[in-house]
Amino acid sequence: MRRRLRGLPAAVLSSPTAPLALLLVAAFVVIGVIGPGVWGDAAVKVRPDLAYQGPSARALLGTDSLGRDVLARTLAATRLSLLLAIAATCVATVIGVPAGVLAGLAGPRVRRWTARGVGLALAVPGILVALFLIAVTGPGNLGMVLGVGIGISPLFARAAQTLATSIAELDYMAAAKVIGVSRRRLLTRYVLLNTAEPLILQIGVGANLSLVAVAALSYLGVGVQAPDYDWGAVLHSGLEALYTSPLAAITPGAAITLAGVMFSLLGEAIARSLNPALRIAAGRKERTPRGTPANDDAPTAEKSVEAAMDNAPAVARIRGLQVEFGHGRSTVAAVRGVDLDIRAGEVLGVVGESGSGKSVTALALAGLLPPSARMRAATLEFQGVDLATAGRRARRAALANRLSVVFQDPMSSLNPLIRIGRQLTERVRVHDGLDRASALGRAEERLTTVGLSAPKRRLRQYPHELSGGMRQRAMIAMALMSDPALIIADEPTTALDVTIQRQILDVLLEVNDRSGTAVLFISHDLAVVGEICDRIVVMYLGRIVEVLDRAMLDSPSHPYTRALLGAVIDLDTDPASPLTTISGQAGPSDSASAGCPFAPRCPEAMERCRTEMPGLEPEAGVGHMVACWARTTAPIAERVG
Amino acid sequence: MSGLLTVDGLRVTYPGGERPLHAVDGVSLHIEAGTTLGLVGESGSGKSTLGRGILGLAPVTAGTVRLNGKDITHATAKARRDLCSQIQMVFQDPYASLNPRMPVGKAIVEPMAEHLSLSNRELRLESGRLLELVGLSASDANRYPFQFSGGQRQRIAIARALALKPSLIIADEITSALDVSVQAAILNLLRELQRETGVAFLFISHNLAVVRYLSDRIAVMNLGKIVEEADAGRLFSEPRHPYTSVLIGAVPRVHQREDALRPLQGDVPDPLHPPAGCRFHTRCPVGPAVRSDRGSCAVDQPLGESGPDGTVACHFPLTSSGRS
Ligand SMILES: Nc1ncnc2c1ncn2[C@@H]1O[C@H](COP(=O)(O)OP(=O)(O)OP(=O)(O)O)[C@@H](O)[C@H]1O
Ligand code: SF4
Ligand code: SF4
Ligand SMILES: [Mg+2]
Repeated sequence: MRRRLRGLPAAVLSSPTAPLALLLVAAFVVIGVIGPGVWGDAAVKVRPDLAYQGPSARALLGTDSLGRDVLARTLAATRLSLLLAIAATCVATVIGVPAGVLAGLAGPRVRRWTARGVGLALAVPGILVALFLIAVTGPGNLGMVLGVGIGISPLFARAAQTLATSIAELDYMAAAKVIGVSRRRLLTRYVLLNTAEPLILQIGVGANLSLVAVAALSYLGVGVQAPDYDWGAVLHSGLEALYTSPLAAITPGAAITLAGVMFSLLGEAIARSLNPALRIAAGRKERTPRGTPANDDAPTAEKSVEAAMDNAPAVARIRGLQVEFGHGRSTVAAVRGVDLDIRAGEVLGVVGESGSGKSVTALALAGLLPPSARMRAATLEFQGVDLATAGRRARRAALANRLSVVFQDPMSSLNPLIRIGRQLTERVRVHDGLDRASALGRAEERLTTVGLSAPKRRLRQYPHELSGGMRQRAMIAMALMSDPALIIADEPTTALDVTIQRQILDVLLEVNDRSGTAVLFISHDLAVVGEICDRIVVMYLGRIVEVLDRAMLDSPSHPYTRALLGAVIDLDTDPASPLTTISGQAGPSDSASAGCPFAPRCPEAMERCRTEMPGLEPEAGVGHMVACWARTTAPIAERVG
Repeated sequence: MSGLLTVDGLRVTYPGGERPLHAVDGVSLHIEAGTTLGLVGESGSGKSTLGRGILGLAPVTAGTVRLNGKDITHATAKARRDLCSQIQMVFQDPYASLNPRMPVGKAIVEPMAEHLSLSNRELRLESGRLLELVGLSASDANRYPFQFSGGQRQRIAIARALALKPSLIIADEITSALDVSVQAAILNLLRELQRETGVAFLFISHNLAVVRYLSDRIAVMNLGKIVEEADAGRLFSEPRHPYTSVLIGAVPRVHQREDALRPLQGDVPDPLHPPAGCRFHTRCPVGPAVRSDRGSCAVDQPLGESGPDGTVACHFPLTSSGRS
């Protein structure tokens, strides 16, 4: 919403009636603020001897029945009058708009019934509703505001319902439902944004109506009670002598009229500003998400690149992450206390055997853990938002546009029934409110980025019409759609050919290079990780055992990393000799003991290793961390291959 | 040659709506007993189909498959059952290839129970032995597939293939889903098994480093055709076919070398509409798209030229200096 409104001041100004609207708004605001202070005293000075006087130097617009200065009273009443009208409008909006929207989106039966109810409510004059409520609550501001608000709300409900019904049938709503957009989001991102323009017009008119209704009630003596007074009350005390001393009635009447004009014009100007064509034209500079200073909670890609160059802030901070699956006896601890920073703009590799918790760690960060998982974390921060403590909504908002995931199997993460184009554009259309044409334009651009030929044609194809490598590139294109700050790539090339793998790696590196998108690259293949990653995290049985720079990959410290490296087969491996393997196998039993989880398989294990758990400690190299009692930086003597 | 397996001009055709797809199009190859032939190529090049065609699991429309000199191309179902003890296959996806409702111990000895008359006790002992052979423990026999990791499942599938002591195992991407450490163990295992039992492998993989490590000879496949076949050492030190060189250059390594050929941009052509002439000519870095004097590549299909050091199907094979 914020981004949407950013171009607003400029767009408001572009309306032809805007100067008048703004002038009125400014005048009313100033008078409203200073009114009671400046004119308050003069307004209440009772001089019965000077009743119904014409204009004079003392009272520019004459006096009322008690000899009070009409102008001063009108000016001093501005604040209360406007506040009451605005409050009543708010009540009407809060009641009417949601009711109307919900009715508009409901099934045909509910829709029909609510339409009837609203129709009935509309038939009852709002002022009668207000009078009835005041009869219940007794005369006074609260009853009046509620009464007027409720009285006017059917008007808003009708407008909202009509609008919502009209867009409920449109394609993009259908698409949103298909992809499971939450009802809330459906309301805010689709219905409200698309009906905002006419709705706000309606609200402007409604404010005008409330203003008159409030004045009328006060005039009738059931609204604002003495010693307070609003324009209606001022009118009341001036109306008796309408024919002899018309200014006493005309002055508050004029104020009401002017304020009404202000509300209508303001509504019109704001509505105009929500028209995307005008908004984009007026707010062009601010429209792109990059480098918007107001966007405080989301470090942008450009910022990230700069930052990565000086002190590399973290895109994500994970502290004390623990994830368990299952229940009771069969509980499996998949992640057992992981601390990890993903720096902006870096390519961070996570290696480890299957079951070491690589994917689960990433899934926890992405909020994609299956329901059977139980997660605990001291900190699980993405772009400054702590996902562990944030509500579901805040979490969703934080992750929605800035974190993308590419999975190993592109086929299982693409919906086979939906065209590539639709799948690529769903997210940006839901979350960024991009229209179809520009979303498709962006999709085409991203497909080109990942090197797919004939991108326009691809958009119309179904996933099965693409080869595995093309699908994986389509997945990466999808991940790129919203300019993410972090791409989690979970074994993205494991299922692919070397030639395609090469292309995918190149694409990821290029994206990282060009837009500073951090990449969390999960793989069991040290050769791949060693080739593309700046930093490498080695996991074993749910824990990080070593963190090292790529440069150090030749001589890692941890026995497990060394073993992994020994097991890597590349084109230099000697076919004549057997491969280095890690004796035994990783299993939950290994972690039951208090000591180092790798101890049962470790060739260097000592007595201490079986009783004490080594912590992740800094080593000599920059950023080098190792969890091993026998840590050493000595090069590997006999690495095979 | 009187090898274990001889495939001659094999063509496997999938009937299709638009037109039939020759997923394997005139492939000849040869495996000596007790050796490993590696089969590499990109996805969709027809590697799996070739493996399945050999086993009669895919529709063979031309050519012959001979095992120990005996034509098994169109063996009857009954004959195939007997072939089970001679050729076995391990599949790519360990999640799909095991019956989820059967304890793995039972699954492993299924072929034995079918073909040999063994007592339950003997079967149990056998399953324990096979499980230990592939690095699991005999006590795992009563567990179900879902209780194992992908790597463990693949070991189980290998154990099952080994049960009948076959002379040839077709292994289709069996390490693709595995961790490097597990992969290393399985490759060591395959070698050991080969030394001990004399089993031959048709080892299908897209991972060149793995194929290089394990194979005696290697066949490179592109769009249904074998473009180069040679001794493993020669193939990697001196690739003759540009496609082979491209594949080798794409292998990730901790210290990337920049001297290998890179393929031209563009996708793998649709196998339904393979390019005319040399099927690699659209992406060939030394082909007609780059060299105007090599227009013939786009017209004439290069035939496999057998030489002393293997077969290469290219009009302009690379010379030993690495360039043609
Ligand atoms: N059952 C089938 N019906 C129709 N076409 C098929 C069938 N199975 C495979 N194909 C097609 O045959 C061609 C060769 O497929 P195959 O699976 O043999 O390739 P591959 O080299 O094993 O690839 P990968 O490395 O992805 O396993 C492909 O174009 C594929 O789409
Ligand atoms: S702490 Fe001991 S058992 Fe663990 S890795 Fe280090 S030496 Fe091996
Ligand atoms: S025949 Fe021509 S196009 Fe084909 S691989 Fe050889 S040089 Fe390249
Ligand atoms: Mg295959």
